[in-house]
Amino acid sequence: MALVDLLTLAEEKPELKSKVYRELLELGLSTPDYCYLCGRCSGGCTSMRLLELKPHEIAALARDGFIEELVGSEIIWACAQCLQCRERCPQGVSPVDIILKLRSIAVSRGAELPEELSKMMMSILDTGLIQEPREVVGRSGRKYTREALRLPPAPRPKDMAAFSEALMSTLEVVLGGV
Amino acid sequence: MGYELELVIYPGCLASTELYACELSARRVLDALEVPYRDAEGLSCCGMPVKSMSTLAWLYLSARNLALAEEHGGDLLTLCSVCDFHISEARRVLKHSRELRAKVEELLDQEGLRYAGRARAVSMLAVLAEAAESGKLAESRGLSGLKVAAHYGCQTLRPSDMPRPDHPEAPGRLEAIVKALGGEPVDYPEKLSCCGGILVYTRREAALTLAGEKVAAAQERGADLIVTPCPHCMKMLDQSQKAAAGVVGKPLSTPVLYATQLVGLALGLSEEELGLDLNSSPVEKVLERLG
Ligand code: SF4
Ligand code: SF4
Repeated sequence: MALVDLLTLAEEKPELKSKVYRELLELGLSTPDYCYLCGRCSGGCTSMRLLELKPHEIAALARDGFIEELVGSEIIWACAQCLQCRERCPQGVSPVDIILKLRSIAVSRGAELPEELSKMMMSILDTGLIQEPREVVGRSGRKYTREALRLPPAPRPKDMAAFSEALMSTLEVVLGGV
Repeated sequence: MGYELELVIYPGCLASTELYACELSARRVLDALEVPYRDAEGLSCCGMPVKSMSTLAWLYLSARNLALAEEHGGDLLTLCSVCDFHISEARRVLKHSRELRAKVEELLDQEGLRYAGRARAVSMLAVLAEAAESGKLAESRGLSGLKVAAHYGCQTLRPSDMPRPDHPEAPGRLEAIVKALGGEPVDYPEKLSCCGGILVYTRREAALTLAGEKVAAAQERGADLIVTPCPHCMKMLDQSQKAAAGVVGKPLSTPVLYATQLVGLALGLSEEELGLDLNSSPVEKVLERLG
């Protein structure tokens, strides 16, 4: 469903909006209230042409309180995190950071995490890295590991249990699927 | 100078687990340039993949790496622009918000770590650029006029409201390195466009389109090779070049090198030392040209 269609069913949610605003301020960024719809962000947006993401629309909808609708839309997963919108905004608004906040609300409400992100998260909890060191094949067909290349062992938190526990506590809402 | 303290090498997840050539060539080039660096135990992911789920998870991961660098009295030498951005951004946020900083310190305490806010992320690009600026690359055997297209990567350059290694709209340090090595920078209008390095985790097809268009643009302007300071960009432009060619329907065959692979070649380091067999793009074309 397109974002505009969703809006016909929409209803403002002031509490959610103030949560997003509070969290953006914590990051030292302007709230969407500063957006005057100049469109510069969308003009430079990597995902606009291919995936119809319009960061100015995200900022405006967040400003008008339609957080619920944004959180329910697949479009928030189309952002390339190219940072053009943050760079271009004359008002210090950062649509990409609004989008990341919307993603985390979506996930905390049980939206399915994109598979790749979910795999990386599980691996970080287990090993500290997005994946275990892999055996890779060169153009010659030769196989390589870190050891074969005489690289030191891959980094790993010293106290794995304490690390996992600390990280887990920051991801509780996500893992609990509240 | 971009770095005053000792450098703790921080390869990041991609270079540590898969794109070994980035880490290998970085270590060998640092040795060759006599830039001292050390390893620190206990490093982890910078938190990029979990930023979509929890701000605090990302801040904790970035901060613990900075805390480990601080234990060694050093800065983090980042080999990846995505790590460099996320760690630098975390440092900025932890300076800005007392509440977030208190929460992060509590988490670090569970691991026995302390964050004082001293250590910074220093990018490999900055280290190489400083080597070029100080004339350290001048004695290399050179790139014999090879035409090199620079791909900086989005997170290398933006946003300019915090310290980044080059100018967001008119960067020039990669070109300066190429010139110092006797190569010829090739300009192309798509230079600042995105390769899809993070988009690939949520919208694979679109990301491959971006990568394919990017390589095609450099190829059409006669580049002998593309150079990038970011493993995520390597993953797209080099490792995924064939897949990207399929998606955009163009015959792509342009060598792509990680920044320290290019510098290492010009310095005369061997193919093994630079892990050149691990690139997927046809780097033998470059080797033939250099003889
Ligand atoms: S960061 Fe996302 S929203 Fe912002 S310009 Fe890039 S793709 Fe568009
Ligand atoms: S650039 Fe900033 S002010 Fe302009 S539309 Fe985008 S968010 Fe709003």
